[in-house]
Amino acid sequence: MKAKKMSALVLSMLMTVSSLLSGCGTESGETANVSEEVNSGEAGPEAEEGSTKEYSMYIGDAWMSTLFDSSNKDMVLTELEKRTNTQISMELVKSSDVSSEINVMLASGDLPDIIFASGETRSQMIRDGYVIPLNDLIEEHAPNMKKNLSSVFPEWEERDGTIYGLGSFVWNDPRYALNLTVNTVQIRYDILKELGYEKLSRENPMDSFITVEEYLNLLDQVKEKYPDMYPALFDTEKAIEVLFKAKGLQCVLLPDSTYSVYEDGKAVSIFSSKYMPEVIQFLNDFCTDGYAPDGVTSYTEEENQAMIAQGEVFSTLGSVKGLDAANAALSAENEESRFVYFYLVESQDIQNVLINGYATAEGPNLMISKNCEDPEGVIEFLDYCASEEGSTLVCAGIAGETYTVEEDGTKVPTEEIANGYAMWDLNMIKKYGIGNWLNTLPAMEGLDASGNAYDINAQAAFTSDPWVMYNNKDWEHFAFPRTINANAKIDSISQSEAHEALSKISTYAFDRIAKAVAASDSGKCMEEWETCISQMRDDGLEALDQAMADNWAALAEAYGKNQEKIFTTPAEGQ
Amino acid sequence: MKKTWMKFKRQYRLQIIMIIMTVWALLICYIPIMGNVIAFQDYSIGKGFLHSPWVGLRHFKSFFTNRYTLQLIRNTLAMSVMSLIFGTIFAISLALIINEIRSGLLKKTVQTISYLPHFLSMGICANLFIQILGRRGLINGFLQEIHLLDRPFPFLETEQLFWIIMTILIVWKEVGWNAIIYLAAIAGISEEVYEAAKMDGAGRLQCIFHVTLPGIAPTVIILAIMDIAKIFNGGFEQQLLMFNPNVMDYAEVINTYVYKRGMGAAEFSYATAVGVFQSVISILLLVIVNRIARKFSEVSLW
Repeated sequence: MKAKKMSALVLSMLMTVSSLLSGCGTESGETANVSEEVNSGEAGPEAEEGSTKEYSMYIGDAWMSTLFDSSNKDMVLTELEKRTNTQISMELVKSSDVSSEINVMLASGDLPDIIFASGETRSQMIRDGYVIPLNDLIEEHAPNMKKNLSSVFPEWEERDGTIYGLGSFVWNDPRYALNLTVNTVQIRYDILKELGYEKLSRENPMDSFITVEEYLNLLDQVKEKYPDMYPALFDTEKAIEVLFKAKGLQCVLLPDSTYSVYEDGKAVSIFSSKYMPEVIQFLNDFCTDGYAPDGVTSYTEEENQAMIAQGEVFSTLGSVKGLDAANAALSAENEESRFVYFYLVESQDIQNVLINGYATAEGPNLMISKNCEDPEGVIEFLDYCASEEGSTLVCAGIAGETYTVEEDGTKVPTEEIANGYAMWDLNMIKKYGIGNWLNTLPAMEGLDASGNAYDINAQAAFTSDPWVMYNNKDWEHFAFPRTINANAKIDSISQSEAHEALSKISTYAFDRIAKAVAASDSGKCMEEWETCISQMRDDGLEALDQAMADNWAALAEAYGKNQEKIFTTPAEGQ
Repeated sequence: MKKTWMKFKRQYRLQIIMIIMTVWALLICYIPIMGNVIAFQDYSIGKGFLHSPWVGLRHFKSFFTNRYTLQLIRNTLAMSVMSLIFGTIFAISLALIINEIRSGLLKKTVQTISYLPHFLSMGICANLFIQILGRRGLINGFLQEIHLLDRPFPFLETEQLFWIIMTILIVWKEVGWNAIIYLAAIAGISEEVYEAAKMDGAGRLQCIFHVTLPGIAPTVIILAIMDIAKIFNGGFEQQLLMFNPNVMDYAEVINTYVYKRGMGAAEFSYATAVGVFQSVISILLLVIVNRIARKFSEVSLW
């Protein structure tokens, strides 16, 4: 009996203790430690002799997270740490629902020192004071950033001039900027060869451009000669972007906003564009004419990847989820069965296109959290990346490991790195750190003093193979739209009505458009589109359009350009 | 007072356990209810409850004036009611069937297999259904193989089938687990009643309809009351996982819409406002249905 009483008491105590312990959280904010490790390294930020500074970094971006392996440090990071006497412990976002994960992190108060976040989450972190202003830190501790990156500071500033985040992918010349993937059509090289495509040599100017007519012609040939092959796959949103840009329009996906299209003297959201019904109808016809498989608008990433990897698809109209991985698998078996890029234009009259929507979203996403105990040290670490030496490391890697140096001083990437970079091989990227850090850290990535790109792999890809995935052969005809984020985004406080409209509309817009595209005939297609636009108008589309027009005007003023043509190409005299 | 204290002293072991769990319940279940105040604020994590601005009923108005709301409510109610009706019927039927199995081994095997899907996550179940019903799935493959179909049939992309597929998914997943409760209720029916019925010449089927079903009626009513109270909260994971643009008018439920707006755009206040609305409706439904049940069947939760 006594034993029973004792055991009951012990059980109660155990329950009490476990309940209390389960409610305890970890202490937040203590993330910078100093250890006694001795480090040998070259030039880097000043650090106490014999001590290593430790910082934590959180990558709050689903795509970026695929480029890193948090359990295994890549070569570039290891070298960066050695040179700067730092230790960076990385944490990656674990799910595709990034904003939820970050919100949970913010609510718990357990913030890392460095956070990479974008979109509304980033705006929220700035608004709520989770990240610190960097202006003073840059002024006092970042001489390399001031010297080498100050030209892009306006793009990183908020409307009040405060910099909260640092961007990446800082190009001073678009020549080797390899982000021309957003609105391309991607076609199987081996099938093109079998079809006897006349521009295979890609020797002439504009050979990387393809008109809609040419593209449909190719698809017709594929339908006839390869009946078991699907002529095309597409993702509705990306396909719409491709088709808009094919018209040579100033159509840009603005950060913390939506696609903006300039037409008839003002900018509007893409939903209000006069071209939208035409584009939707084109895609509907594309489906009903058998160019895309039934149900293409509902395909998941896994289905896309499976079909592409099994060689069942000839082309994609715009990028589709799963293409990169599938392309790597295909070309691993046979180099010629890879997908190559073309830039779609409506007709040969269109000689200049806005290709790169990617650069508008390139930061400034790298921020220092309020819990960081050593923001000066963090800025000094990041400042090293902006130096000539640091930028070379971030972009090219390590001499003798990832590149060799010729007699004339030119850096040449190793074959493994060059091929892996050209194919965007994630295994290579994670192992060596080539390709991931240049998308994260504020390094110089344009041309150095000798006229060569810091990103030697991009330059190698550009010059070596006219058909390589990231070929930039006709670069002079592409506009490289960098935007000033503060002017471009829909602000939740000063443009609250537009912000709420965008919030409502974005929950269904492209789904409903996809439903219209998948309709069985053009009548039902347009009926569905009318339902969509009517719903958007009820949800505040007018307010959204007004905000986008205001932001476009602010962008034009900031750049000192005409609203009609903010973004111009080198061929147009950029 | 002294008597109460004496009673407490006699039961102190039980009281200690109770106190701990009461404190836990208060901390975890009741105090967080106060967080619903953010439904009336423009809540920001950084500002917290105390410093976020007060906006009154703005989020409620935003939800009620959204022309999409009625459709959301329709979809939520439709799928919840269908799951409730068919789930109850199938769970009871399965319990009756299992109860009639004489072989102990077979009985246990059937019972185990039937409730195994309950332990699978909705992600696995949804993917399973996609593999079976998708355009390149099992059923389409088989039907094309036997030349019943020339082209795959879009089961998952047909609006009219979505609610039916959701109901089948939920019923298949939960029928075994729910049947356990009814089996327990059946086990509670006295054997003497069955014997009496048999003596009066009742066969197996008559025993089921005249003894078993009336015997478990109170359990059915209690569970139905609780399930009816939850119909406004029905659905999230399965709809989110099996959503595609072609069925969006039938797939979008309150919880998925709130998830997209609330978590996607960090509109916590809006999400909470909708949650408060759902909770209020659930409480009202619970009270009304409980009253109706008490009036007509003398069985109720309270």
